[in-house]
Amino acid sequence: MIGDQLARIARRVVRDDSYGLMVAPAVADLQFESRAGWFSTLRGYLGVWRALCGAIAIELAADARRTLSNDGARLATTQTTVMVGTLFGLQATLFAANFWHEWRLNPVLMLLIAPSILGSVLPVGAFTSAAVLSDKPYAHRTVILASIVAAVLIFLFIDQGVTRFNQQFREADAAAGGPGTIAPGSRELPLADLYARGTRQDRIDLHSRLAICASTIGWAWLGLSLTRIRRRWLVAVGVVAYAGYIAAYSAVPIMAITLFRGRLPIWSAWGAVAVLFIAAYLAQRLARRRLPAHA
Amino acid sequence: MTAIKLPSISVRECLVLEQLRTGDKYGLELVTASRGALKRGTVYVTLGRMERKGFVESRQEPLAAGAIGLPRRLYRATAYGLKVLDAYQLLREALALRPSEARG
Repeated sequence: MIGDQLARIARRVVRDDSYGLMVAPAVADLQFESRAGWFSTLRGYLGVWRALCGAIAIELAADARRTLSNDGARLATTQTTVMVGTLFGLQATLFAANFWHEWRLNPVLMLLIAPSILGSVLPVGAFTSAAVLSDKPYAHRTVILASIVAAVLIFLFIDQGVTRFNQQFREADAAAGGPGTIAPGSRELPLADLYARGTRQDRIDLHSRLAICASTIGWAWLGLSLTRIRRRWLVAVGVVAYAGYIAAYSAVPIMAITLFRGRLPIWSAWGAVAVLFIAAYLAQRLARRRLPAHA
Repeated sequence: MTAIKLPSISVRECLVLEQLRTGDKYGLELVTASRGALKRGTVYVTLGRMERKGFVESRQEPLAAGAIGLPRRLYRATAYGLKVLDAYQLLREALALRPSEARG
């Protein structure tokens, strides 16, 4: 019947109570009025879509409020803020240390690399947050919403924070001269500059940064889904893979492995993220699926 | 002192309660009766929010034998909803006094 397909979509998108209160009556009106002609049907369809959008907006607002008001979620938010703040602080400290010549030692310079690495590893923090929050009735929406916000913050961090501080550090370091000098020519450019230059390597860098941010959502989704799977061995595989990813990223130069032919393909930037999303999707299929009602 | 949380009510919610004061109505009837003040796209979002606040209650229309499609929903104002409406109307009238009248 008319509107059935739309009702099925809505049922998957919003929670049961929101569907029953806001969307289902609009669909019923659409079906009731469809006998009156095409114009009424069109108005009915518009009404259902607006009701669906309204229900989604209300649910997102409620989830955001819960994220900010709940103790566990507040803890996760604080942890993320501290993590991002530390990375910024580390960059700023190293930059300041450069002007203090007694501090200009190689170990300090080596620490400079840490934020660039952590910027890539940071998205997996979403996995932990998702696992911590998974027993909450509003976990699903909250975690996905928070991971989208985190993806934007990580993007800003990588694109603006790291590139700006690293470049300033490199220029100052080169001007000062001495051991451990990093050439200012090896620039880390923000996305806008990478896009403007448009060489092959720039395009790879550009895609890599977007992929890193997008992976935050994939990690969060995977974290949520794994905690709902009842098969222990599958959960164990997920946890081992998670720990392995962090270890590999810190210990093994992954980019060097992908460069073994001397040409890094652009898909390599999204390849790992695609695998992550496929894993998250499969885990979701195996998990108990149902959005709980509002607590 | 214990803080009392006052219920909030929007202009649109007042309008819905005014319409429901005269009797139970379907969502589309509310849209028609409001003469354009309520839109069909937003009326159910408003009604859903009001039901969560306890201002209205609803029940599904029983489907006739052999009928297909989703059942329509009939809305009724609760005593609490009407009480909140009356209280806010009194407040609005009180605040609408001209300064000269208020001084008296």
